[in-house]
Amino acid sequence: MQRFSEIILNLDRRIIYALVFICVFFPLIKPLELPFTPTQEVRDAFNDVEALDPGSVVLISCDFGPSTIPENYTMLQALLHQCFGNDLRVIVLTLVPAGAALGNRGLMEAVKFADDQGQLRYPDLEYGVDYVYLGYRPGGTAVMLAIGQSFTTAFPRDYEQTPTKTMPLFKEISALGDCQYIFDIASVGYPEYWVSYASERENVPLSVNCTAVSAAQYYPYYQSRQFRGLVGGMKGAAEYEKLVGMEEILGRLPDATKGMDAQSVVHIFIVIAIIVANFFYFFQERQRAKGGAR
Amino acid sequence: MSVATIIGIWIAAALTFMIFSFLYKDNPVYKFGEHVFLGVSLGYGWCIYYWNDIFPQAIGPLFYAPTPEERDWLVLIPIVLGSFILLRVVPKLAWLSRYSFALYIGGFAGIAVPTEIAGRFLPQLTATMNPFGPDWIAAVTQTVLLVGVFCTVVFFFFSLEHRGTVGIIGRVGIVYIMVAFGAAFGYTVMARVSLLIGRFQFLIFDWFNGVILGRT
Amino acid sequence: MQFLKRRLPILIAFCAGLALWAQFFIPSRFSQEALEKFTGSWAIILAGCALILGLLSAIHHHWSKVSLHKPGWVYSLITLFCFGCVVLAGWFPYQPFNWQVIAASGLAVIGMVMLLLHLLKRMQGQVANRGTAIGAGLITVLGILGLLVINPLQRFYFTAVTIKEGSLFDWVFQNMFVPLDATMFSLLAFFIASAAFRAFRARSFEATALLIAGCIVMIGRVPLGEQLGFSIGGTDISFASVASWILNNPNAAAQRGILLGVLLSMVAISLRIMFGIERTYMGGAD
Repeated sequence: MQRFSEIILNLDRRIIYALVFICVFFPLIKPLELPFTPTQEVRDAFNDVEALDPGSVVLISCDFGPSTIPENYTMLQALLHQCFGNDLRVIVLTLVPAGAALGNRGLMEAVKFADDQGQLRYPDLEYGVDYVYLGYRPGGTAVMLAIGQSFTTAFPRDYEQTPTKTMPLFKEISALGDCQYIFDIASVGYPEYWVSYASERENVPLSVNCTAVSAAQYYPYYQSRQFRGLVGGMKGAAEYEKLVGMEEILGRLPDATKGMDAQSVVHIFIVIAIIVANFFYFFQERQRAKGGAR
Repeated sequence: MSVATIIGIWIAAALTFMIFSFLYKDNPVYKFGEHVFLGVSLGYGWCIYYWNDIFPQAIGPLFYAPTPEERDWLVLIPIVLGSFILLRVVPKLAWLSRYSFALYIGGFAGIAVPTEIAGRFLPQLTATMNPFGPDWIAAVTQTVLLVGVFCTVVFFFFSLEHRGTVGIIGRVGIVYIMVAFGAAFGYTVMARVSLLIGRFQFLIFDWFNGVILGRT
Repeated sequence: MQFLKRRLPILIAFCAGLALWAQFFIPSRFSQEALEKFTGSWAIILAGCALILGLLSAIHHHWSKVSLHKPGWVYSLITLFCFGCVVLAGWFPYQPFNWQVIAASGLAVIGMVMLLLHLLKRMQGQVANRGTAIGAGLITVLGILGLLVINPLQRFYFTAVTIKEGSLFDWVFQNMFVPLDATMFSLLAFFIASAAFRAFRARSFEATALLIAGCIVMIGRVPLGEQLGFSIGGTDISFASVASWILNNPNAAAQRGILLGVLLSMVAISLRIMFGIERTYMGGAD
């Protein structure tokens, strides 16, 4: 037992990597289809957007990069489908450089989404009227304050270099205060600044989708209702996909939902690994104490 | 699938395996992939900063205004200040960048004080002091919250020695903090695993299923 | 000179800070327009220039590694090559002039001139820096690649220019930047599993509390966590519900306590910057 505990505690890290690989790989090719229920934090975000009147403007900030596509990009798709399905207008921008091309791709993927027969799901959408992609501007809080004063000053041209003053949407919506909702999809620390520099200043409700790394630290804002909803990590994105009905829209399991089985298996593996390691650690400590006592 | 898409997916898969090779040990293939990433991200950053900032904010208002009357000459001031920042590469002129940084950082320091107090500090304090109702569950919840916030703040108050009553309150605060860090750790594991799942989804469904087996 | 180099920047920081602090309380049109100008135009341009400075520093670092033949210079050459290709693809439009061809031709000419000068130096028996020759070769190769590969691809195969969707730049972003960035971060999953197994020990009461909370949240925040539980008097007690309670109560409380401290520190640092006590942002340049 002593020898075995030494082997376990000094296990080569590559064996652990191999076990993690197995835990991720097999549930992806052989899904377990474990059911799950959306949590209250996600329901709040979803219900808020559902309650918006048709024609309302939602500002979506894609503050994420390629490294968090499974958590944030999937959420972006679900949110855009919800907005377009409810006749909401969207203004999309990003405060991180890596999100510039990604935000554009995400928006266009939703706008140009077609069913199996090649029919556009949202054929009446018009750029500059129903949706706009403003692109990236550096400065973070400077941009939040700037759009609080004027969209066209902060973004005189959009991502494709079209002057924003010529767009019908910005003849109606001059600043952030004219928007009905803000949704921040972030992998960096911007949600907290959206609270103080945008939502509280301009009195526009805010919900957040963040990576799971930051989710725990945002619960104070959810508890104080400064975040109307909190969609944390890939699980949150999967719950949002379920609420929006992405499986019916896409005709297949959406990406975040597909990953949930693998997530379950890996988490169980890591918890078991921690328990096993601690068991053998305390066994060795006890043996050491016994040996010392003698 | 178009030729560009197929070639692209093969390149993406190759680069993915190059980076994954680090799991065995550090090797030249991983270093190659890492430096390709560095070069591509520097180039990407350059193009994005130019087309999303310099051109629309600085060059556009001066040289591409719809009419000569709409030209914004005031934009020359931040352009000059911005060039001061770039002068940091010249040791003798680097001190000029202080003006730009002083304006930017000093200005935002001034904005931050009332904005953060009104936007986050006071609302968070207000949310901590909710009434103990309407039922006993809400009362327990509110008590847990109030005790937790108070004890955590006391733990970080180093002007008083943590002995006696203050020490006990501080220890309660540590327990709350450890629970919070444990929750954060659990969520962090979830985040990291999600990223791995995303990569595996690409390799299995896009590369192997889509390109090698030809299924959509 | 001391006034211009040291005191005037501090004065500017103080005045700018005070003006923008006062702006928060003054709802006049002039004050709103001043904020709009400062944040919407000036601050965005300054932030962009600061980021470009970072890029230039990185490029200079790799260039000096190549030209001075420092260890790992081959990898820096790869970095600079990739940087050059992406910039050629994404920076230059080809309307109204074919700037891409002009830039590529320029690079090729400059590179060949540098190589020629290097050869002349060697023929005359002078000491010639091999690193600079390699750099010149890189510039020449980039120029020729731009003329023969990047520009034709951009013009005749891809449908858009510069950074727009459907351009060569967009293709490079989707098929090189995205997988590299995503894979770099996905390595962390393996490392966190290994670290949790090898280092996470319940050595004290606090560590045990951390461990238990972490395990409950890990199980509770996956679909399996909803299935593992029981019912007492109509109330479901599962890993999911306990995890939810932990996150919304003790976690929220502790995070709020930390947040209040951070916010007070932020205010303190802002005041120190405004009053010139904190001067590290100015750098040490004299």
